[in-house]
Amino acid sequence: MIPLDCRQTREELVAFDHGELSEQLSNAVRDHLSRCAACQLAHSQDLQILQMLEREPRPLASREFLQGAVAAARRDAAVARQHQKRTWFAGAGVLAAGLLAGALVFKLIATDDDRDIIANLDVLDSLALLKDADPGNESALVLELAKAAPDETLETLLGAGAGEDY
Amino acid sequence: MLDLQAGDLSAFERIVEEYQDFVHHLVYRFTGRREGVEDLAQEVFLRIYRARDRYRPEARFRTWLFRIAYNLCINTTKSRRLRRTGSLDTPIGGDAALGDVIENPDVEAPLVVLERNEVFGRLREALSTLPPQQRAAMTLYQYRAMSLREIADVMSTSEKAVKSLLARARENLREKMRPYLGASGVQESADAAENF
Repeated sequence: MIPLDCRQTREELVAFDHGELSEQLSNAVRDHLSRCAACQLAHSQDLQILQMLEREPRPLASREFLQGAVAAARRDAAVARQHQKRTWFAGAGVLAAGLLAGALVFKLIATDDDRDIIANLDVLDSLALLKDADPGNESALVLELAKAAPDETLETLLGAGAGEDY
Repeated sequence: MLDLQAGDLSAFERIVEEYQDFVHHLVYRFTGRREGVEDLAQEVFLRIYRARDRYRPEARFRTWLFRIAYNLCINTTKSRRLRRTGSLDTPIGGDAALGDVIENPDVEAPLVVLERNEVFGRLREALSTLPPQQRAAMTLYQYRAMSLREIADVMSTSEKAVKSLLARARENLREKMRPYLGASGVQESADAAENF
């Protein structure tokens, strides 16, 4: 058994009283306590204080506390739902305003050529075809569209050199 | 807790019911005062409710709950800079030793009650002067079912730091409560250890 000095013993008393020391270390603490009056007194007083803490009257929850806590949680949930709803509407509003503003700006600054490009975009036709495609058969349709697309469109869409990989 | 995560509010009710006294005591001890305990305890449960989706079953629920209470109380203590005011907690005065108060059966009952109240008053005063972390460590340590490791988890610190906090807290309390403590011997100390 390793003999402990006063400082080591005091440090270990916390774990000793909590029953968290190894058998060997517990024996070492006991051994020191049996030989050292100062540590013995300190330990005894620690235990008295712990007993006092145990016996001290504690504030308990009132009868209404449970209902109050549950009601507070309900209110909180309702507020959170409302907040979520407001956030969603605000987001949708911002998006709609952005789209509207974009459309207005486009209308103001777009040239006739730009309008022609938009109106003749093949991709819009393709999207319309995709929308009408049989469910589950979209991939076949995409392949068909890709084959039918003019080379320059493919190059534009896939970037330079992509055509070679095809 | 898993039921609560699934949206079952009655699960929350069960949690409050089971832990309400516990949380009241923790809050009282953590903050070192009785005033406002109920409000803070309610805030603890509200935070549990709000954080329900963040709870992971790997963590022990009790540790998680205590951590929420601990963080709330530490922050509240810091922000309010709690100061003790003259109140019911204020000790009456006197110099009876605890051993006499608790163990002497010949003392008349009202006197025992008075002296005991005085000792508890001193104890509360001594506790309230401890740094918040020492006070919290002492409070959690009191729950024998909590290991030092679990206390460390609640306080987001190491086991070694907890031991050190507790050793200093005990030393401080011993110093402040000295007039009320009996000079017991080894046998008495061993008996007390068994009772603790």
